[in-house]
Amino acid sequence: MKIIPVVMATNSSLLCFFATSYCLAQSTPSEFAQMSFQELFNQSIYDTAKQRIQTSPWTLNYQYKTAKFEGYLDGTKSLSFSDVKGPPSNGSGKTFPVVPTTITQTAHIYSVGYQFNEQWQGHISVPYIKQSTDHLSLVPGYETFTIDTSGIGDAVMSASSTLNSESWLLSLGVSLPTGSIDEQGDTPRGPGDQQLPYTMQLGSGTYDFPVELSYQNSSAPNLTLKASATIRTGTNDRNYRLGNNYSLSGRYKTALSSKLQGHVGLVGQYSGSITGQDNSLLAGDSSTLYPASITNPDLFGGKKISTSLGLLWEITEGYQLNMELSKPIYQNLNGPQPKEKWRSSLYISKAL
Amino acid sequence: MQSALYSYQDSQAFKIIFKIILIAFVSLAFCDTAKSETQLTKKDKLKAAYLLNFTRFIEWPNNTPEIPPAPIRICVEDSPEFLLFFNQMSANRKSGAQQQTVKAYLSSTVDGCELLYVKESNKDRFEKIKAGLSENTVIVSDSDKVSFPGTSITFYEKNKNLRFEIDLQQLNAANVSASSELLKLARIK
Repeated sequence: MKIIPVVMATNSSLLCFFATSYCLAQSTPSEFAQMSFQELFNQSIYDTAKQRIQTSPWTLNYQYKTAKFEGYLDGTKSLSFSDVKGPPSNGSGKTFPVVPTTITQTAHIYSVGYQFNEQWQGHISVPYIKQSTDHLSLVPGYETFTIDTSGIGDAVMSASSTLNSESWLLSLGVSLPTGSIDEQGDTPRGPGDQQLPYTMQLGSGTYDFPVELSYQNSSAPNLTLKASATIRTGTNDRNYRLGNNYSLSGRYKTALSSKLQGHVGLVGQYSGSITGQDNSLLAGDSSTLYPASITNPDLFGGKKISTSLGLLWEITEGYQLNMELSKPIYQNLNGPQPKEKWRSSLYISKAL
Repeated sequence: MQSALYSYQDSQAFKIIFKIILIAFVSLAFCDTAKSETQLTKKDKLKAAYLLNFTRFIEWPNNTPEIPPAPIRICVEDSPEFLLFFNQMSANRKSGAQQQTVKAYLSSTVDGCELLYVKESNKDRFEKIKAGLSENTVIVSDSDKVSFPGTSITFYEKNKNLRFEIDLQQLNAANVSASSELLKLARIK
């Protein structure tokens, strides 16, 4: 359930936008009158694009993402906190002495983009992640407690290219293990600080490969379809590997005015469970005694379908703002597992 | 105990953010619409340039030969900025085999025109506008989001670029001839 610093999805559509216009900017009636059909074909319809091309191929982007998890699901069945809170479970048990109640994750993602040519774009992004988890527990002195972590997450380098037609865009990237997987905090497992569960770590600890293929309809309706995945490799220093993520999404965008677009979307996601296990998270000496559901590697991943609503605003002087809210309408989780309540993102792009 | 730092992220916060986005949708749409009414966007300028190019590749029947040849008249509705820009653009330029001048007019001020440029905002008045047209008038629609009867050419957007679609049946009905160069670049309906 870690926040994946994949900004490729949003960036891809932005960069596709940058790539479409490469002619010199025209502004006077006379200059427009001299343009041939082919020159008109190559012109972006947006006023700001010319400024971008005239100045620099560099872009700066900032994205703020937040997600909240609350309540429990086992498959599609809702569970109360009292259903999950109980004596330590062994192996496939469904009760745990420590129960995370609310998980809040936020990420500030800073990225730089560079337009190599009409076809290729590159990006580097670095997230700063903050996480907070509230707990209930059976352990005396820890009946309720909160654990926070924060720091740099996994940096992502990616390259995107339009394919045969401008409608298709392929993005490939590599996620570097720059985020910590050694975060510690005060838990009921013992006095002082101990290793925190997978959800509280800031990185995956492995080299991961985000991939995305998107198609944008060339005429009305303005529909974008995307298939994306994050493929993880190897095992990190704590002997585990987070699950792969796969998603299919569709987004319908409609112009509300010349600079404002609204969009609605639907995304289906599948995440795998964790492979391997961090033995320092176990309670006692047993290799299967889990103090909380989020310490059991099998209780991660599942299927999810979410809807989204957003607003894309082409601000002048090379600024673009995108706001989006999404909420799951179906979740089938390897549980008991905290369920997602909602997530949101705010994205600002500035052409240099 | 939930950290105060994250207290805004409860379900109430979700509702508030949802409402803010909805309000932003409406208010920004109104602000931007008001702004666009007084300012010609690049998209509008590109459409004007396309219209001028159309006159270079379409030939209208020469029903009333004149020397010098009569100008090709472009009719537009309720857009003085567009009209001004187009006429600045077409000034001192000739189009077609007959080397005709091209000039834009407000529909209400001219009796007939070779090319009518209609926008979504003209939808309600379209039948009235069309009644004053000749059979050779080529109708160009501003967008594929709205359908006007008898439209020969329709602008549409593709990956942030402007393209056009030609309805050959309507073009033939207007009894005009379009060059192969124009048809080659168009999406044919």
